[in-house]
Amino acid sequence: MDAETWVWTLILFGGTIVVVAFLMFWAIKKDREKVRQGTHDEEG
Amino acid sequence: MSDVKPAAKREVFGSRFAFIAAAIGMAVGTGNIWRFPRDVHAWGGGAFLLAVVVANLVWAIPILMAESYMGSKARLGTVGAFRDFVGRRFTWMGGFMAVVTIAIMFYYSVVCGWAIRYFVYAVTGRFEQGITVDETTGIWEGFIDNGAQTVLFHAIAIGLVGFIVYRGLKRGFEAVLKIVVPALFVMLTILAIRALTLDGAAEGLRYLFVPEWDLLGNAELWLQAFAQMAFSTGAGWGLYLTYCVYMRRREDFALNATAIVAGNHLASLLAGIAVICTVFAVGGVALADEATGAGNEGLTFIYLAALFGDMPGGTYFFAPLFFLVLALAGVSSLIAMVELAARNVVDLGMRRERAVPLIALVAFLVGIPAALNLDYLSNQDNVWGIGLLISMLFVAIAMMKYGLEEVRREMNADSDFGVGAWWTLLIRIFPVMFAILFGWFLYQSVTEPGNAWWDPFDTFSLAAMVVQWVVVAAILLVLNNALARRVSHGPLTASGVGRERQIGR
Repeated sequence: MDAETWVWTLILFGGTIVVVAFLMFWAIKKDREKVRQGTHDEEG
Repeated sequence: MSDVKPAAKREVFGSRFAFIAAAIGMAVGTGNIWRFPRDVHAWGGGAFLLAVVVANLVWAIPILMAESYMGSKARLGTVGAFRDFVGRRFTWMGGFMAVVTIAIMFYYSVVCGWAIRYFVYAVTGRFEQGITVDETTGIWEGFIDNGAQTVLFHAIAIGLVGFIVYRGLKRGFEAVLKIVVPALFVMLTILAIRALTLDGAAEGLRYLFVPEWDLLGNAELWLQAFAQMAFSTGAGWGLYLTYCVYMRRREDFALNATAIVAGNHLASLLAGIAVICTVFAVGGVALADEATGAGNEGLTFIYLAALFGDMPGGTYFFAPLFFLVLALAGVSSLIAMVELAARNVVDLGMRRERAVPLIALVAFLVGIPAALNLDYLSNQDNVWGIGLLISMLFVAIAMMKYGLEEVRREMNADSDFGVGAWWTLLIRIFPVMFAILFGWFLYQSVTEPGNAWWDPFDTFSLAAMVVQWVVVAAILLVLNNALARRVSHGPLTASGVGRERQIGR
């Protein structure tokens, strides 16, 4: 595989994986904080 | 504010993970697997992907945030939410949004049935080593021309989804989707890794990710990217609005919408790698052009089905896995469509235990013509697919009518990252973006050679679309006041409007 394909695959595909992982991690972390603080005031 | 208290105890998603998983399942559908790879291939790979990312940021995320706010604050389906946000005279807008998505549900169940049928074909080893494109064409034509089979698998799809939705949130769709959606990503990853390890996969990656910079100056690429995004993310369908009725209080608006759009994009890329790299590696460049030019069904049910036969492990592992992914992606979206219909019918006063079987039965019966006639299905896909753009416009109008600054202030109180002035700006300019995209579509319809745009009986004509939209809008306008009266109260319902809600519905 040539260098150009590597670079663009890393940017567009690798970048998406990093963004999704980061957003999911952030969302779950914030959720745990809200549950701990009782912010939701409601249980599922 | 209403003096009628909403239901004392209501079902809500048990965790944020379950909520996001369900919403990603709503967004990820068959289009991610069979349309996205074709679009990327047709529109310059990386250049198209960059345009899709921009479309996601400026269009999908703001609209999903708006839907999220409407559903979580109104605590009602699309009809009630529009009544309470835009005013009772505009209840029909929520009805239009519901009808568009329900009309899609009717034929989408048929498509899910195809995927289930092909999963059964694959499991039973139908795509054996050495199978040719002519033979898979024969399998497809034999299936699609057999009305008993297409109707049977349509019944299986809507019956299965009806059963899941009938069981409600906690025992039904939350329980199913928080397992199915992560499993979908695992299976897509396996398919993508397999495709990447085939000799010649690099050429597929090149097609997918390396931008052809010249194309970024092509207006049509941008319009195609926005259209792809509009159909893919679920923005404007009312499905996310419906799921947000079950959001817990003080839940985030901004981060959730961003995570859902990003998750949907990742699913599309995984599917793109799995499909395009397989086609390039096993079939070569010439076949790749032929396969991606053969339409959604041609690519999936004819070319990929044939290529699995030439792939090591293809017949009994990768073919069943691929069609299982296609079926689960379809089912996870169909669940949201049935729930949208159920939420609106329950808001109108019917008990859920009655509403869901009735909806499943109606969906089965109304979906039969699409199961029997591919032209009719294509017509419906065209009419209501484009109709989604109008629904998106209605969401933007609802936000502007309710007050953009007030919404932004309230979103900021609960969101995990700041909702800046960018959000109000993007909603405000939405009608302009809509006019450009819709205007381009109208121009294409009228100028396309051989397209009888004035003929309402032509499958893909502009007149066929407009006539159906106008008929639906006219009926809803006539029913507007009755709908506004019948839909139950929510926390935002003005006094003297709507029906008193009964506890537990």
